[in-house]
Amino acid sequence: MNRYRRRTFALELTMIATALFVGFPVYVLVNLAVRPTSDTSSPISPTTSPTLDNFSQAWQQGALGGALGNSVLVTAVSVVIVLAVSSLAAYPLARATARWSRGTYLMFLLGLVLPFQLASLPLYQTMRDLGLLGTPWALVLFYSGLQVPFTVFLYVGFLRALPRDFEDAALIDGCTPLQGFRYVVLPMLKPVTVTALVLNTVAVWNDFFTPLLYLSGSAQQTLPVAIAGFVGQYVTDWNLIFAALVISILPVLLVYFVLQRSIINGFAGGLRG
Amino acid sequence: MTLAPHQHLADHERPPVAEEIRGVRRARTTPPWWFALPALLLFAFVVLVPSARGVHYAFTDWDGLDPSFSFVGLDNFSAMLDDPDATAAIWHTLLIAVAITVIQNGLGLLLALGVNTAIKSRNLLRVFLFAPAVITPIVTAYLWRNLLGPDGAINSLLGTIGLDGLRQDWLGSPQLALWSVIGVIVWQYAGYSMVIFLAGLQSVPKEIHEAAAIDGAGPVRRFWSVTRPLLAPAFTINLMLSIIGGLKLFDQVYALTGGGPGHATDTISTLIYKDAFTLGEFGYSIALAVVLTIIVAVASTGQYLVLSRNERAAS
Amino acid sequence: MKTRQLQVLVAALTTGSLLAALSACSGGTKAGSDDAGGGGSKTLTLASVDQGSVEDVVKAFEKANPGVKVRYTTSGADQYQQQIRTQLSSGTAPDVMSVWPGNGNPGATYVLAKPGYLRDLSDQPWAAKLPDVMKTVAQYEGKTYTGIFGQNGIGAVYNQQAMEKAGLTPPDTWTKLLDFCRDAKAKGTPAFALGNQDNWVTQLVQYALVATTVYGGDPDFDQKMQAGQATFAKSPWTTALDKYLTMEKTGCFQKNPLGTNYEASQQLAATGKTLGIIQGNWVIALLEGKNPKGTFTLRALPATDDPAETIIPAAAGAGYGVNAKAKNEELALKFVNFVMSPEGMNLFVEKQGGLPSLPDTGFAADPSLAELSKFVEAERTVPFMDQLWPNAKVQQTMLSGLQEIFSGQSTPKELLDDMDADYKAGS
Repeated sequence: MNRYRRRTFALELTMIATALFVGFPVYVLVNLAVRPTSDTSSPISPTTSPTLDNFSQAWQQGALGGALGNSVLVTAVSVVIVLAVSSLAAYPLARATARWSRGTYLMFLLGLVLPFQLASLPLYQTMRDLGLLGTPWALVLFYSGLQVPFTVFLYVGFLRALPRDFEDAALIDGCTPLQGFRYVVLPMLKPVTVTALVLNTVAVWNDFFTPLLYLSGSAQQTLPVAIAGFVGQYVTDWNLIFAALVISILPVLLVYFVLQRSIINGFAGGLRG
Repeated sequence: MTLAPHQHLADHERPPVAEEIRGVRRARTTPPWWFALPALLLFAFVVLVPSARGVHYAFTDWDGLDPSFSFVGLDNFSAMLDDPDATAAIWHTLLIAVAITVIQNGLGLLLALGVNTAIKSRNLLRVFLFAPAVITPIVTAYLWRNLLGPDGAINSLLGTIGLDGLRQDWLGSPQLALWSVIGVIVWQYAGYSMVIFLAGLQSVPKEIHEAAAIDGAGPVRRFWSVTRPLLAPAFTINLMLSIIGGLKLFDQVYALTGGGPGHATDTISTLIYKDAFTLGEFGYSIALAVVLTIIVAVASTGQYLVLSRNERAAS
Repeated sequence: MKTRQLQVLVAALTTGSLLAALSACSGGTKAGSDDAGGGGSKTLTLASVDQGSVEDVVKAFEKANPGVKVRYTTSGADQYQQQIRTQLSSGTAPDVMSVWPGNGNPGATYVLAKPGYLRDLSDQPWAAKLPDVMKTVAQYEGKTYTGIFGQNGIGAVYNQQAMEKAGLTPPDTWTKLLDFCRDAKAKGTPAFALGNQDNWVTQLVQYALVATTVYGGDPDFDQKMQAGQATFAKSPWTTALDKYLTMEKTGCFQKNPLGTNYEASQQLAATGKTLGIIQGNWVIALLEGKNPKGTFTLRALPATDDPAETIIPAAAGAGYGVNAKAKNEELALKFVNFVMSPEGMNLFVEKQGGLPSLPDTGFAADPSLAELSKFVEAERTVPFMDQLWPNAKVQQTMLSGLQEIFSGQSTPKELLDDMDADYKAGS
C-alpha cells in the first residue's frame, strides 16, 4: 500500500463525509428504533427519551429468537450450496471454449433474465407435490436454485480475467482438475467469493414473500416474516419494525465486516493458501 | 471461437493435453463438464422448468383463482397495445433502468476506488457504504417517504442552508416522483456496485500497481492503463446486473410510491403484480411478464455483446 | 492425506444440495402435523390481516380450548391477498382465513365464494342474527360465508385540544364546513390532514361526501347501478367529487397532500398541526398512541346544509371465512364461532377501535365513537361503496384517478367515465 500522506488524509475526510451522507437514513432508522411511539418530534433530532423497550418488545412479540435461528439456518445452508455449486460450475464454463460450454453459460444467463412471476406458481405447486411446504428445506432448495445464475455469472466474469498459468502449472504437477480447482482456482477467487457470499446472504436473508408462502401453516418463520407481523392493513407499529430491523441487519453487516478484514491482502494473500 | 478437435464431452476422461506453444511446454486442459452439473440441476428445477410451465397462463383468461379458465390465444398481448398503463409502464421501466445503470455504477466505482486506498477507516467505511443495500425495501421506502415528504428532512435541510427555492414535493409531483424513486435506488445500491468493483480491484495483483508506480505513472494514468482494463469483468457484471435489475425493479417502487401518483411511477413489474393480485387478471399479468422477459433479454444481450467485445479488447 | 480429504469435502458440498432435497423429501411430507406437542386434530391453521388484534383473540381461543394450537400468519393486505390466492388455487390454504365483505376486492366474499373455496356458514348460530346491511356483504347467492365481527365508519376525527386552542367547533353543515376550513387556515392550522400519497386514503373523503350526496336522496342507488339504470358520471357522484375539490381549493387540507403519506398525516393530526383528519375510526387508536394526552372524537362529515340529511359511510370490516377443504373443519368452525361470540367479538373490536357487528354483545363503545354508534342505531349509514361493485378494477381506477386529479393529470369527468366503463365490464 501507498504511504499515508496529506492527500490520503484529505481523501479520508471526503470518504467519511460521503459515508455520513449515505448513512444518514440509517441514523434515522436507529433513532426511531430507540424512541417510544409517543415521541413525535422530528425523526432527525436525537430522541430525548432513549429506550430499549422496542427491542425487547419486538423480540418477544415477534418471537424473533426462533425466527433468527430459522433465518440463519436457511441462509447459511443455501449460501454454502450456492457458492459451492456455482464456483464449481463456473470453472469449466469460463475455461472451455466448446459449444456446450457457451450454450450452458447462456442458459444460466437466461436465468437472470426470466422474471420470477413466471415460475412462481408452478414451483409452489411442485413443492406442494413433493411435500416440502412448511419445512425450511423448501426454502433452501428454492434459494439454492434461484441464486445460481447470479453467482455463476459473478464467478465466470472474474475467472475469465484470471491468468490460466497457475492452473496449468498445477496440472503439470499432477493435480486432478478437482484438486486444481480447490488449491489453485478457489484461492485466487477469494475476493469474488466474499462478494458472492455477502450479496447472496443479503438476497436470501431479506426475502419476504417466499418464506411467508412456503412456511405458512407451520410453526416456523423467518425474520422478515416475523417483522411483517408488525405491518397491518391500517395499523402499523413502525417503532417496533425499526427495532426488529436493526436486530435483523446487524448479523449481515457483521459478516461483511469480518470477511472484508480477511481479504485486505486480497489477491496476493490468497495465493499463499 | 474455434472448436479444437479434442474438446468434446468426454474431455474430462483424458489426461491433460500438453501443447507446444512457441517452444514453451504448457499444459492446456479444460475442466470436466460435469463440474457444471449440480448447479445446472438446481437451476433447472427451481427456475427453468417452472418458468416453462408457467408461460401457458399468458394465453389464458385465468383470474388466478377459479379452477375453470379458457385459452384466449394472443388476446392478452393485443389488449396490451390498447392499455395506456402498460405502455407508460414500459417507458418508466426503460428510463429507470438506463438512469440506474449510469448513475449507480458511476458512484459505485468512485466509492470503490476511494475505499481501496490506504485510508485508515477503509474497513468501517466499506461496511457503512454497503449498509443501505442490506435494509429491506419496505423499510427503506418508509424512511424515504418521510425524508422526502413536504416537511421532511430533505426539504428542511434545503431550507436550513438557504436553498428554499429547491424545496419540492418530491414524491407528490408526477414529474419528480420517478426521479425521486431513481435517487432512492441509487442511494440503496451504489454500495452494492461498490462491493463488486471492490472485488475487481482486490483481484488486481498489487505487484502490477507497484510496478506502474515505480515507472512514475500518476494515479489517473495508473487507473486508466492498469486498473481499468483489469476491472473489465467487474464492469461487465455490474452493468449487466443493474440493467437487468433496473428493468425488473419491483419492491422499491411498490413500497415507495405504489406506482403513483396516479400511474406516474408504475413499472412493468408493479403492473404485473397489481394485475395478478389486485385485479385478478392473472393471465394478462403473465403476458406482461413474457413481454418483460423479451425486453430484458434484448437489452441485456445487446449490452453483453458490447461489453464482452470491450473486455476482449482490454485484455 | 490433506488433498484427499478436501477432495471429498468438495464432492460432498456439490452433492449436498441434492441430498438435502432428498432427505427433506422423505422427512417432511406432512407439513404442519409433525410438531412434538399436539396431534393433527388439535392444530388449526389461520391466515389473518388483523395484525395487532388477532394475537389476543388466538390466545383467548387457545385458553378456552385447552390442548388446541393455532398456527397463524399475519401480513399486510397486499401480501395477504397474494398469499391466499396462491394457496387457494394450489389447495394449500389454511383452515380459517381473513375474508373481506362483499365484492370488488381480490380477497372478498363473492370473489372467493363463487369458485367454491369457502364453506357455507349459514347453519352457524350467528348467521341469522346479522343485521341486513351485514348480510348483503357476508352472503353470496343467499348463503352466508363470512363471519363479520366488526364495523367501521369514516368521518372527521377532531383533535380536541387543537380545536380548543383554535376556538372552533365541529361543523354540521356544508357551508359551516367551508367556513371552518377558512377560519382554521387563517389561524395557521389547516382543518384536516390528508395523506393521499397512499392511494387507499384518497377514497375516504370521497366516500364520506358520496354517502350524503348520493345515498341521501337515493337509497337504492346500488340496485340502479346493478340494473344499468344509473351511472357514476350522471349521478351526484359528480357533486361529491366537485365538493372534494372545493374543499381542496378552500384550503381544508394541508399543503401537498400527494406528497404526504398515511403515517405523516397521522402525525399532523396527532400533534395538532391540523385540527383533525378525515379517516376511518381505526385511526383513533393510532393518534392516541402518538399523543397519549390527546382526545380524539369522530364526527360525521357534512355534505349538505341540512344536518338531518347527513349519512355516515359505515361498513363491515374484514371477517373470517372457513376453507371449504379445511383439514380441521370442526376446529375451524369453532374458531369462527368464537370470533362471532360476544367474547371474541368484543376482544377484536376493542383492540381495533371499531363497533361490533351484532347488536347485543354488551359492548361499551368508546366515547370517541358516540356519534358513529348513534348513526348506526338510527340506520343512517351506507356501506363503503366498493363493497357492492362488480370487480376490483372500479376501485383501483378511482384510487389512481383521484391521485391524477390532485396532480392535474386528469379531470373528474374522465375519472367517472372510466369508472363507468370498468363497472360495465362486469366481473
